[in-house]
Amino acid sequence: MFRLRLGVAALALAASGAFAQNTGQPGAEQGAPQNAEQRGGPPGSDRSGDGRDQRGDQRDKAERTDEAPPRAADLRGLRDAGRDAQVVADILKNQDVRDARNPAQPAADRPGPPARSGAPSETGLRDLFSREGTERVLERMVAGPLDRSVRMLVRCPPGLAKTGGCEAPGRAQSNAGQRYSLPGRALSPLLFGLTGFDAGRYLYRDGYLMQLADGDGIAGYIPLLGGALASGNIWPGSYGSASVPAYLVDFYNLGQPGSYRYADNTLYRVDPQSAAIQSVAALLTDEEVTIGEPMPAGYDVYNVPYPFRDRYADSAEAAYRYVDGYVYRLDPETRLVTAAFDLLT
Amino acid sequence: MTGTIRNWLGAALLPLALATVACNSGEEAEPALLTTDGETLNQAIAGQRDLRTTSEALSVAQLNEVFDGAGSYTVLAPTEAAFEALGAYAEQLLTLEERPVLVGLLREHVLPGHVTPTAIVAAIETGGGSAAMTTVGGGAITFRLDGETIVATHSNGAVARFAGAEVESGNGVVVPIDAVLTTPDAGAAPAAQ
Repeated sequence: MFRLRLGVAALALAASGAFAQNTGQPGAEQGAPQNAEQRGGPPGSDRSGDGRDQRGDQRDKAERTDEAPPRAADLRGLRDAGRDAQVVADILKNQDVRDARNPAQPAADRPGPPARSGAPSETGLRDLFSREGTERVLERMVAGPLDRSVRMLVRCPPGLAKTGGCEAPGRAQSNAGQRYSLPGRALSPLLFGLTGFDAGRYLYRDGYLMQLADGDGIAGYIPLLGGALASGNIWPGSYGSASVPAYLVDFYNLGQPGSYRYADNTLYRVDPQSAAIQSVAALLTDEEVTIGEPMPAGYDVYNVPYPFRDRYADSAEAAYRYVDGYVYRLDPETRLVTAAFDLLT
Repeated sequence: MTGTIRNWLGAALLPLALATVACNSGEEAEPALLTTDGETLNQAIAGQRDLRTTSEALSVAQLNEVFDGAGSYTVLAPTEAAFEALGAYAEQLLTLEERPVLVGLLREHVLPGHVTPTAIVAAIETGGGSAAMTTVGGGAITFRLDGETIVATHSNGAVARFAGAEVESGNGVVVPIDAVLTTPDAGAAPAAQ
């Protein structure tokens, strides 16, 4: 019975195109860069099909040239301070790999979205009816990864240009209070829970984290959760919004297209008419879990949500871990991820 | 589908009320405090007298709805004494000017999923003395046992001990800890340029 339900759901997903497509971008913001396109490949799937996009190409290139050192400068302090060096280093190493796969791009340089069709690709249909079995294939289809690429806007934040907020670095550096955070540490994206950005010299002003250029001026800026992205503020159209798989839209009850935004591992609710931020709907991890690959470090403890602990209980044959709306099944010995389960069926 | 999500919390109530989960708070093991009236994680935190500042911090950071929603989280919640130990720094953290820093700090206290002290102890034993979890801020927390007390060490060097019984709700767990997981030099004056 369970398998039959899954099969029906899989067909429904296929018929509907399976994923929301760039739904977080209201018409009023059409002038903004459209960074978001739906990567059709779920964890473990072959991304070399028709649905492959430019960012996928970049990621694959990063994976092929894995000799390139990750931008880990902003993590070194954490590494040194860690008491359990090996375990902590493994977790932070995962972050380095993610950073290398997701190079930050100035918004203006981001590629546009690829052409889409409303129907799943031929490859997707083959996956749906592959010999792996309906249940397994459905798991793969629904477990579409989020677009975790990071973005930094160029030039000067709105409102700060006229007030000298983006003054030359020499003058800015003279103000130590703008270069150091309350904890007494030099400002970095990591301090604000932002991963994947370059280490470097940053200023904080009026809800924005601004990276200083090597020469004069500001290299780019990031609107911050709790700052420029606080409730009541208008979502900055130029910041765009990465797309969100339809499953996660349902899981987090995000509502209709245009009523939410996703950026920097955070889901926001917004007023679809005014684009005013209403609330933070969810904080997500920066984990990209892939079927067939080892579970990222940092999931040693059983963490399945309470209502599902009977259904997905650890045993000698299987371990289960929860990440961002999905429960993943692991091989207890190898830690390889063998399946992903959505929590709405 | 949405209805299914909404029913999560309600569906979890009865088993929660019936369940008995051991706690590892450093004291003699005692039954966990279990919500029985449909409280969300956010409400459970707000209901703890010794977590008033944590609850206030979540409000200032505008993160309440996160812990009222469908996502499952575990919050390592600093006690009142933990915030008092930060002195004036704690008051500054709760200002609107510092809100983005507060958000970043709070993210380092949040683990994905429903993590109980019982499960942590089991993982520590399985892991040969330590167990690690990632935070939703991208940091790492390593758990160890000091006697019967669980000690959490953040990758930024901060150390905190579990300091009370956890409270489980349908969408997560809150565990009191005796320190804020900020850098050891928190509140120090900025270094000279």
